[in-house]
Amino acid sequence: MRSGQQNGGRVPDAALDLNTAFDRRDTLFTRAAEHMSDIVANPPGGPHAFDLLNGGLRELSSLMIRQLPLTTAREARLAHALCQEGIVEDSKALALGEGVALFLDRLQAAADHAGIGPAAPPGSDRDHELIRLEQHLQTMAQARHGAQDADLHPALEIMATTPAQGLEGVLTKLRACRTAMAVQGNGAERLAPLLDDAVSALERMALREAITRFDRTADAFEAAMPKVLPTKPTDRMLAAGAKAGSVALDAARRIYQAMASEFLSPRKGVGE
Amino acid sequence: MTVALPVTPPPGGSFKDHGAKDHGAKDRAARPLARSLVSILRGRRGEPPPEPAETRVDIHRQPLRTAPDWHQDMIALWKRHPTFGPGLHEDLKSKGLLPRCVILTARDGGPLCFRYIGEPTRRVFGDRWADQNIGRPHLEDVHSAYAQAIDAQYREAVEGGEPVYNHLVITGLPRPPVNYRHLLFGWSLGHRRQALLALIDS
Repeated sequence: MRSGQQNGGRVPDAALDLNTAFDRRDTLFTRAAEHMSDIVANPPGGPHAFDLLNGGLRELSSLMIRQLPLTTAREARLAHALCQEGIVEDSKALALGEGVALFLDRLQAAADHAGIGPAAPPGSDRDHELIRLEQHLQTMAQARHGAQDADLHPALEIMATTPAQGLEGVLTKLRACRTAMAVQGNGAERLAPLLDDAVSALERMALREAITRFDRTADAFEAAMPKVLPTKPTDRMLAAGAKAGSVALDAARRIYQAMASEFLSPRKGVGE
Repeated sequence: MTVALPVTPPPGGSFKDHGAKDHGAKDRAARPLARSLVSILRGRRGEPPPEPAETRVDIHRQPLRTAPDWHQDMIALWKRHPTFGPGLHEDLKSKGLLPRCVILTARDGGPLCFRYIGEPTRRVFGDRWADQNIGRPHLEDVHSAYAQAIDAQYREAVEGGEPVYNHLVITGLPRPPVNYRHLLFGWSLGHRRQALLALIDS
């Protein structure tokens, strides 16, 4: 996270007022901010400390985004995507203001002071077991040149019945195959299940990845389509409507939402 | 010289006959009401309803070699994107092709639903129609004869794995006949995900 940089003097039209936000104790945002303050005051330790801090930051930035004057579904999706990616820099560029930058700076400084760094890439518990077994195999292979086939049986059998949960697990199984082949030179009937499982896992992962990319692309196309009627009106639209109808701004907002809902609701069957 | 191969169903299986068979007397009785609703929605309250028209869609298969250059660009782009992924969106935008597209996707064996409706289609059917149909199955389109006629072409592109190039003439809409060519491309992850891109030349 880089912060503490000036935002170019750009003052957003409706930037979030942090002081106001902090003074209001009944919002999700203020609760999240207080939670983050607690974390800063008492930095967490252990291997998950960075994840805790990062998770808190993401939640906080997500809540801040929700308070921005987003006027179209596209903007909302963009803001949401930015939050999902944890792109705090871009969140700031969206008009979070100098106060947030300073706040994040202090969080980072506290994290640095507490020596909190990124945790090791998390693997699933079952992949962790695979990794441990594979290390055991490596040790045996290195310690006993010409190790007998039977020496490797127990570890290989456990690995064969332990499904890989991620890429690390798959790679671990493939490495184990390589080690076993180097040691034994045969025993395909025991190695085949390992390879089969590895291939199946890779195929499942590839499909999951393809589906994710597919859905992301479809969403991007939909977000790119111009909308005639924004689902959320701009302040200017509301003000003009309130003036034209001689009603309060809140009333204009409710009227607009009702109209938009009616306009956008599908009229199945009409025109047959 | 363009070779036109008609793929429109023969008169014996026309959409008019098909519709009458399926809907029956109840739906026939409801049609005047539906037409009145359409008139009101179009701001023609008080005017007599328009004469009922039969929508007819003539589809003529065209050889790919007759496609204009910018359609050929799209063919090259499709070949560069064997999967429906983020790069496709960017390439369509950078080539200026996206506004001329209609994009539909299906998931988990469901129907093809509109995800993007470009300018040519919006000009014909209207912005309101486009807004209402995003996210909805194309077969539920109010222009049912058109949707039914074009569905087989969409399916061929998605399941056949090759571009489909057609010349279409639509008559019976509340506007002059529509005459255009479309180039269809499909992507499929089995039944889990399918995508259809129609590039329209008008």
